[in-house]
Amino acid sequence: MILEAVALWPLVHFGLTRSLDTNPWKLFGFAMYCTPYDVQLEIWDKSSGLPRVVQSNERTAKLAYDYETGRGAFGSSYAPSKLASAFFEDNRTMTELAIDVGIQKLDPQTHKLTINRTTYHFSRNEDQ
Amino acid sequence: MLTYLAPDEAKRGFAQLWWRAFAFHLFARDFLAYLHRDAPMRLVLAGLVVFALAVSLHRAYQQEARWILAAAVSLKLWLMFPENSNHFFVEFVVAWLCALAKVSRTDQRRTLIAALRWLLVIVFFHSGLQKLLHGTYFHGTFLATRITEARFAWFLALILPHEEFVAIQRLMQVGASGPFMFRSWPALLVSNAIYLGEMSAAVLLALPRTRTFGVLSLLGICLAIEVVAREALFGLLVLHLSALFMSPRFARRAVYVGLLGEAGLVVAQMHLGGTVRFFN
Repeated sequence: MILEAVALWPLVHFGLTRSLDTNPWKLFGFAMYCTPYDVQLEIWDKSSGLPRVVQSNERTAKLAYDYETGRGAFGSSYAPSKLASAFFEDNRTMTELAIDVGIQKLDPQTHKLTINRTTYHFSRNEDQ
Repeated sequence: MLTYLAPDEAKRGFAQLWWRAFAFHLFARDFLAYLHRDAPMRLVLAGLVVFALAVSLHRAYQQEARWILAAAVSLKLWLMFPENSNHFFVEFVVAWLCALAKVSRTDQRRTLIAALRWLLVIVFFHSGLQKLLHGTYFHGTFLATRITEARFAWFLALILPHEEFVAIQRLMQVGASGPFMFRSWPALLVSNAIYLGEMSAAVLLALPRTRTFGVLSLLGICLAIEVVAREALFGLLVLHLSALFMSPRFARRAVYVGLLGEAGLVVAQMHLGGTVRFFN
């Protein structure tokens, strides 16, 4: 039973990396060294007309790292809500926030590094 | 199906030696991580493994020692999830298989060794299959993106013509998106030999007639992993597991070589301090 699960899981794991964009290096699929998997985060204050980049402090940098790890494990359905809350707490005047999540991987067709971007929008009223 | 890989004989003394060597491997992993990152949690885990080893010295409590080790790896899974490595997952499964088998019974010892053999076959087969499915080795795409990493760069410089090496390196250095691929045939051969080697080693291990070739090719792959990717602790774990495919004469020696390697890493890391990382 244990061995059957170990033997079948990597195939499910491959499906998850394709459908949910999970990290091939993690979650026991033996797909390390298959493709780079870099999570790139950009945090934007969209309260005013001109978006500006929000800088991290030690706490939000730690939460960003935790999010990157969680994003790799749970895939595209894992929204950075906790991270957004922390940025709202640290930036009292900010009312609108966008978190841009980029996943850099290799495209085997073009042999190029591609970035798959998802932008999550948060507003203070909804979030807190 | 499980018993297809069962050995003709499974001596209790060797099974016990093997389990202790495996436990020492787990100790080395956590203790090295503690020395490197100064993470107290890893010291606690290493301490639990030492406790399991100490309990195993009493003949009446050997099964309990295995449960303690399985509890230690479960705790590690819980504390580190989802950051656990694939290497850890193999250790987790090994620890639980050892705990679930009653090693005092000959039939269960044989079944345990068969299960551990299957595990190694599955790991290497899937490791190759995943590279095939992800499709980044046919044209050397993945390896080409490693060209700025020192541990890969020296090797890629050996198999690529100078002009090609410089061109790919420049692409990475300027942050270009690619294309990353090899054109020279020796480099293409190496890239394709990686997944083919892993999958064929697994098949060779599974077939009784070709098992010796399987062990040799596995050891060759391990050597390549050590030389290029420098995954020292993964290589030593594979050495421990591949000992289960060897004749008794070589199996014990392989286990001792593994133990020496792990002890050497611990001593070297203690001597060098946490600033130098040379293991994975």
